[in-house]
Amino acid sequence: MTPPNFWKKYEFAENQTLHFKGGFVEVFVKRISNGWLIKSRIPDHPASELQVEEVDNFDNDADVFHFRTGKSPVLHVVPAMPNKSVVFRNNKNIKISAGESANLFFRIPLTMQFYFQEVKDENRLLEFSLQRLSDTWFGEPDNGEPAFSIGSNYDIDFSDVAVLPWEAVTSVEIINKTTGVFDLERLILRVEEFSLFVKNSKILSNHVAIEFTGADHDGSVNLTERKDLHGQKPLLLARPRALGTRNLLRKSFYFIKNIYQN
Amino acid sequence: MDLGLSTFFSSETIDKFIRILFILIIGISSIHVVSYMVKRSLRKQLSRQRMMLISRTIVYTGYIGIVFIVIREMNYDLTALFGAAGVVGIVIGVASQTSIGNIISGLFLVSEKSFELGDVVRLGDKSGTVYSIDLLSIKIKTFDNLLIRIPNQTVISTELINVTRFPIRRLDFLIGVAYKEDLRKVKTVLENVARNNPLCLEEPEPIVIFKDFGASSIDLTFGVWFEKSNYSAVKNSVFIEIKEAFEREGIEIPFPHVRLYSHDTGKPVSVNPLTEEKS
Repeated sequence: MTPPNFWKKYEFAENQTLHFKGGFVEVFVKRISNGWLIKSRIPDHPASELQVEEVDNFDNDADVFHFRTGKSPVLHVVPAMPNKSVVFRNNKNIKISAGESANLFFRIPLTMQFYFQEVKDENRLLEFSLQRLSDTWFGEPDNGEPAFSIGSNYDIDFSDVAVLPWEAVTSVEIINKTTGVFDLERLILRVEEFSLFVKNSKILSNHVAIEFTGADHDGSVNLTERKDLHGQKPLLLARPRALGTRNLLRKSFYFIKNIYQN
Repeated sequence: MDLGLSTFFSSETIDKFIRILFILIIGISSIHVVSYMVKRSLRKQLSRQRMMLISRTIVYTGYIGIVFIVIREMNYDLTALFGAAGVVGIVIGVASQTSIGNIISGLFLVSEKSFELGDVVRLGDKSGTVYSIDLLSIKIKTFDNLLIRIPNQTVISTELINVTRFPIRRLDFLIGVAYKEDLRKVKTVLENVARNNPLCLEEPEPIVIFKDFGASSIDLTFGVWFEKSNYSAVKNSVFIEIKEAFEREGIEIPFPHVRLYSHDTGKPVSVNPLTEEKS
């Protein structure tokens, strides 16, 4: 199922149940009088495609979430970036010479959000991660920030990105503005501030341009849409989870300090 | 019998009494209104502890002010009172050495900022959440919901561990494995336990440090980092996962071993358990 056919508005009949499958989660949603019943489970094998189908059975057991939301039978199924920043861990010695830049592409697993009536924060019923990410920490233990880890996989060509249906592609351009060689160790992407677009069945986030101005300096982080990636008129699929400005000075890189541990 | 009540309840006295009552009602309510408004306006800028301090300063100063106003209304001579204050101060000072010590210790504690309201602290053998920081003592709510009052002087002279000061923590597990085990395999198994538990942080990386050649086992420390709010979930899940992983991989966690030797031969003594002969 293509993204626009899955991530959309659904109108339910009374007592109708839909079964949503994607990645490592399955969700059953049943319309009841003035509300919804929602239940999730983790499948044995991940679904290779995003799927939705009507089913007859809905086990109304203890794990079911029961919402009273009123008469509207409309449910929006919306993709979203993870609810914490993500950290890329470089283990391939990416080095960028002074004045040069590198464009890297990362795959970021999405979450599936359910809204009743219309898409706004107070109407969000539940959300599910389509792939569980490990927790990690960006920065020093006394003053860093929590994040999810996206491991060390990346691509350098957009056409090579083997993106899964429940993932978004984020294009990141790192520009080395210093006079020395930049050795990338850890990169944080504040994905809560990214919008999601769709192009040719692929979900893309904003393009991120980051300037490296020195290990102890905050560099400029700029969110844009690129015509070669997003097309002439980018088709917006989801707004950012958190509203931020599109151009900020902030810390995007972390360099590991070897400390004695006992 | 004349008790002098008619003299006492003269119109002048009643007038004074009403005035004092009016001052008390207006004064006390004004203090609390001012304290509430200051707290409300500074709610976003200041921590809970700072807000509590500011609020208490307003309340205590206000009450002292009201006492002076009431004394003046009662036509007591404040000059004489201040004159006597030096002598009274010495008497009170001697009588309340401990309390004054606690107040001064409290000031040092507040200025040191080693903990705040809501922090989890360990003080000697007691631990819990800081419930309130008062003039003479701090109150700690233990995890089994008891309230402990610890005088400020004790707090300042005791080693205090603030458990939740930093956003992440390391949880150390002390583990013993049998001498026969392949230690590289043990290390890999433990690293995989941390890697497969989503609540254990990938970074800072988990540590495995071999500590001792113990009496019955090789002892090691396995430390995993986690976000402080996940303490119970991490402790329980990692504990279970270590045991399951060791069982799966056939790694033995040994019981204490005792060998008995006879002093004559230096050979281990053989022990044959007695069994009842069947008739």
